[in-house]
Amino acid sequence: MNTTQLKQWLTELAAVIADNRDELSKLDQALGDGDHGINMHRGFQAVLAELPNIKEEDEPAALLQKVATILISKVGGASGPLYGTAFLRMSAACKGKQTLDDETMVVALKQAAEGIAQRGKAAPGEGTLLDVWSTVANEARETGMDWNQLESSAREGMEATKDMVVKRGRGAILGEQSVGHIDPGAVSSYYLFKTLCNTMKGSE
Amino acid sequence: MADRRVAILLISHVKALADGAQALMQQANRDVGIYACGGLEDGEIGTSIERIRTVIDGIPSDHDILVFYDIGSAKMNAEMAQEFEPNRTIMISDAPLIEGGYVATIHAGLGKGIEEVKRNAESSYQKGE
Repeated sequence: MNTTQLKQWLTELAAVIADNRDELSKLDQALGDGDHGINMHRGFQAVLAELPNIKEEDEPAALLQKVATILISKVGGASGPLYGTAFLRMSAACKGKQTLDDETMVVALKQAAEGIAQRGKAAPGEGTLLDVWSTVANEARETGMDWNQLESSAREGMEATKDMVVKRGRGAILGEQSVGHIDPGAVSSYYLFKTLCNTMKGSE
Repeated sequence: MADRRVAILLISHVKALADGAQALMQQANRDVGIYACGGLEDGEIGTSIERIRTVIDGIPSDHDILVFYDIGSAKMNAEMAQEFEPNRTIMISDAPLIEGGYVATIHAGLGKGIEEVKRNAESSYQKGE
């Protein structure tokens, strides 16, 4: 994966978030404060605006770090720090490489998932976006960067949050009543991986 | 008396809430530095690291900073702001924003150090993680 592919991915992700912002906010009304779609849309539109300034020869790590900074400052709420931390950790794992090989991406995904867990003081199985990130990171470590497989893992991770009792964030206030609701952060994370897999499959 | 003074930073999702809490505490002691960071830039409800960092920048560097927050994501943003300012002593208290901040103001006004102020605020009022 190189900087051009990263830019393609982020462009597609911004479009998917724009198309689904109302759905994301609606999901968030059940578990949070109903602004996940608006916040993510604001953040990824700012990312989109930055992309023309990124040159093909810039390192992927530089772009990932830029995205982290933008998300941290523009998304707000809990999602800003969580997504921001994920991109920061991926950037750190990719430093010094012009093209990211599979091994680097496996490490980047693992460290992103660990970063989210640390920032949110969360563990897998608590009904958050971490369930998507950790499922994908584990799958990548076990079977490698198979994009079809990783997209299914992301979907599984997202769907699994529906049956979980939410233990972190505002959804935790609902306790058992949170069962039956899919986590909005898990859905936006699914979009992130779905668009990533699409971009990479398209360039194979 | 501790060597360094303690400033209180109140982070809320709502501007009026942070400003109101600040007014309440300032009335208890006019000499303690109490700083409010409520809501987003445009007056919307939320918390942002950028706004928190701007307020922190305005706190004199000879003050240690004790943070009180309202709900979860405010804490997460406060923690990130804390990581961005490694050269400052910033501690985050899980005591409730208003009650904890009020107790902290009284103790900061007595010239106690940040750890003691935090301990006093938390031993009066406890809340979960």
